[in-house]
Amino acid sequence: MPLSRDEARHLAARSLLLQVLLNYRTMQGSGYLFALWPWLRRSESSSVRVKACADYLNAHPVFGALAIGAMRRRIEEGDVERDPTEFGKWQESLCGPLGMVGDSLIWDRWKPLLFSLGVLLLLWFPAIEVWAGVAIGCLLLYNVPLVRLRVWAVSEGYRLGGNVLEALGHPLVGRLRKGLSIAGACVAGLLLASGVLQSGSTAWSAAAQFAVAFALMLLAVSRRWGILWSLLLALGAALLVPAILLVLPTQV
Amino acid sequence: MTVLWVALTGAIVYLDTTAVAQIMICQPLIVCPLWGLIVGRPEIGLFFGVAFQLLWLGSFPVGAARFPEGNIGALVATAVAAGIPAAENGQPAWIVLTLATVVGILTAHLGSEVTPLVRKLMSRYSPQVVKAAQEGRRRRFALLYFGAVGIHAGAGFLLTALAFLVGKWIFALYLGPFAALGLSEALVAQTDRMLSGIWPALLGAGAAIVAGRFVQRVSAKWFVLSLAAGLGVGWLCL
Repeated sequence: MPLSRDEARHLAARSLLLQVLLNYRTMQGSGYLFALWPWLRRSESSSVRVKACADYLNAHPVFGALAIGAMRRRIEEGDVERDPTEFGKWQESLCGPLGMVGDSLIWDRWKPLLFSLGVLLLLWFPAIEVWAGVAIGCLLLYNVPLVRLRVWAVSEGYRLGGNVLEALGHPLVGRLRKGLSIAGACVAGLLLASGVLQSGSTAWSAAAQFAVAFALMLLAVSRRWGILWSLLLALGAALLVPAILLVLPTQV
Repeated sequence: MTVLWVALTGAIVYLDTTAVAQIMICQPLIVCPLWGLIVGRPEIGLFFGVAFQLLWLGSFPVGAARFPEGNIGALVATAVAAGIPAAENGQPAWIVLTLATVVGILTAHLGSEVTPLVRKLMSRYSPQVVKAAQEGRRRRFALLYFGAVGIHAGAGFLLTALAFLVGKWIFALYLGPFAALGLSEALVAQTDRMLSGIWPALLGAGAAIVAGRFVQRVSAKWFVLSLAAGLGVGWLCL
């Protein structure tokens, strides 16, 4: 029998607190226990089940909802009591795929895309009224699909049970990744163009400062230097540009 | 009193960054202009909202990774800068914005040390929660679980309060003890020309971070096309 809509919503809502006990030993483990707790405490042999739920598991917080649904199904079917070692290994096997797909879709693409679009709008229309629209738009566009995704993921995880990773093979995942990458590249191009135009429209020295900071930061990103020192170096060097531009002609 | 409100906001920002819900109200683009609006300095909120959003787009809180607490840094920078009155022309002085940017970046770095500490604490705390569940103690389980939310909030509160106070101290050190009453015209005139470059510098660094995040071999042509289109359309409009 599939999970009822209300139950799926309830589990999805509890998944919002998945990361509260995030730690280096079991990562999100205890968060899954929290999500399933109202059901677990009413079930039989709950002590064994509680321990199994709180074991090591780490996924993207949104895609973790798939694991919640799947764990509920497997626990219901008595898999924990039958073979706890296999259940633990299965949990560990979820970490990589659920983490990677979630990170690459949401952290790596969806969130930066939305917020860089917001920045782009504010660069051209820097007014607080525009900001209000951008802020509401970003929050709605980010959260509404993810809430729906969480509810769907709980139901789908429950339906697939032990084969939950099949959900990641959905053709939409690959298409989304590619589409978001292209959209992100377009926004990055537009942002760079906006920066060049806005800096260049004020003074040549501002355009040079933009270019110096851009080049140094791009170097730092490609070489994976620490963000703190890279930022301070890029900003500091850019601020020195006017002084260098003043000194250079006299030297020549 | 301001420190209390900043720290409370910091606690919410810290919670939303990693621990609870992650609905992105913690993002600089949301929280900085909101703070600016509340304290009557929306221009400062917009400045740091845009700048820090770009700078921290490249880092995200994944698993055991150490990441800069850029959201708290952005909030602290906004709050510290908003405490200094605008210059004669009604705009914030560039020295204020530059110093606050440095304070924000340093706060983010300090914050990157706090999250691992909280996670280590949770390693010892978590078994107690599991034990309460195993013993079927409902109330204790709920109390301990939501207590952990309180620990995160406390960490965010303390980090923000400390960074805000240090930021104010740095401002007093560089701008003089009476900076909160307004900067001298001479100081603004001496520094504005040199430091107005912080804006193009922040834009340049931010654009590089966004490009680094999105541009890969497969999407490079889209980047080049949109760059050319953006430059073309912008050139015509400007």
